Amino acid sequence: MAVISPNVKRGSAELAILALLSGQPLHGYEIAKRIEQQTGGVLHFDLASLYPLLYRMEKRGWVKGAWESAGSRRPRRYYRLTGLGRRRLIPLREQWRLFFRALDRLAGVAHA
Amino acid sequence: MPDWQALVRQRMGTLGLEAEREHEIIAELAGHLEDLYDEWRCQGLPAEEAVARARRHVSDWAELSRDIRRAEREGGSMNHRTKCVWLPGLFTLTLAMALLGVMIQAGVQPRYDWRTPYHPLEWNIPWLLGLPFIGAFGAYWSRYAGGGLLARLAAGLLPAASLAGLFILVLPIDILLDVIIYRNHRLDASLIGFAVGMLNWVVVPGCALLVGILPFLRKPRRNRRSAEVAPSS
Repeated sequence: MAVISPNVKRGSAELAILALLSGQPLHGYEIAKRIEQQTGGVLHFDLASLYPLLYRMEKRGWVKGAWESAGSRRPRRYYRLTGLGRRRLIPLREQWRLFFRALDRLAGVAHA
Repeated sequence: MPDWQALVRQRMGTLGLEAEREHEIIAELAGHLEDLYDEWRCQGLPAEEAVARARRHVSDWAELSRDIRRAEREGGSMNHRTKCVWLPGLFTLTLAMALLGVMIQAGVQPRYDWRTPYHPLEWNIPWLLGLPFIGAFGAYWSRYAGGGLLARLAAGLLPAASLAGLFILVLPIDILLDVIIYRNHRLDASLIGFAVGMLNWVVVPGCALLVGILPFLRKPRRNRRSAEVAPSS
């Protein structure tokens, strides 16, 4: 399986997390699992790459974390998309769409 | 099963953050390791092997510690609401009050007796003419700091909102003083005074501020050039 280089991954990480959280609040472990599952393992977040990014996004006001416990399970910190995060997601999606379109025009990546 | 929090604390060392935040981060990372351990156990891995894999999951704890510190320092001590609402709003309020003070000192506007706000509305006109610019400044600042629609409105309208708060606070005190001192209180007079004061000092100035705020409620025009470059994190 082809592996995406770390630089491209870094740029796409914010979009991946924001897009995922726009559906529902998730805790860190779930975020990592869902990204891996939904991208067929192409995008992979481990603990060291995920949490600094989540904390940075929280500082920027894009996501908000809060401890929640369901039933007898131990509490987990669930992240929700904020209004600012939702607004950030729109241009970010557009930028990546433009980026891939430009790359496709140049290198035909969509048909590769 | 090991004490995951103790393991994370030992590997990461101190983060140099507030104790509560540091504890929260350690608990969260420990929870993640525990989830990984549970997953591997469910896949049939023996306990010792699952623990060993979880221990090896982070290759460089010192680097993770540095990355978290860096992330936590981003944005300094000021939160988003402070940057988008309170700072521009308080500056807008200061500017509006300073403008009023200057106008009174310069003799452009008459002095007011704040306990009897029955003056004609046209007395405020010189001040009102300056308010759209002040409202615009507050909304622009808020938008520049990344404030949404409500933040921009709040930042621009804070002078009118503060005066509304002042009037709501003053009315019961005014009634109480009249009852205690004059023992001849007329509620209808107080309510009329309150309504006129709200109109002169809240509603009309609020509308003047809103005139300046409105152009900044629209989304900023997108920069075509910046949209065409590769996205970066």
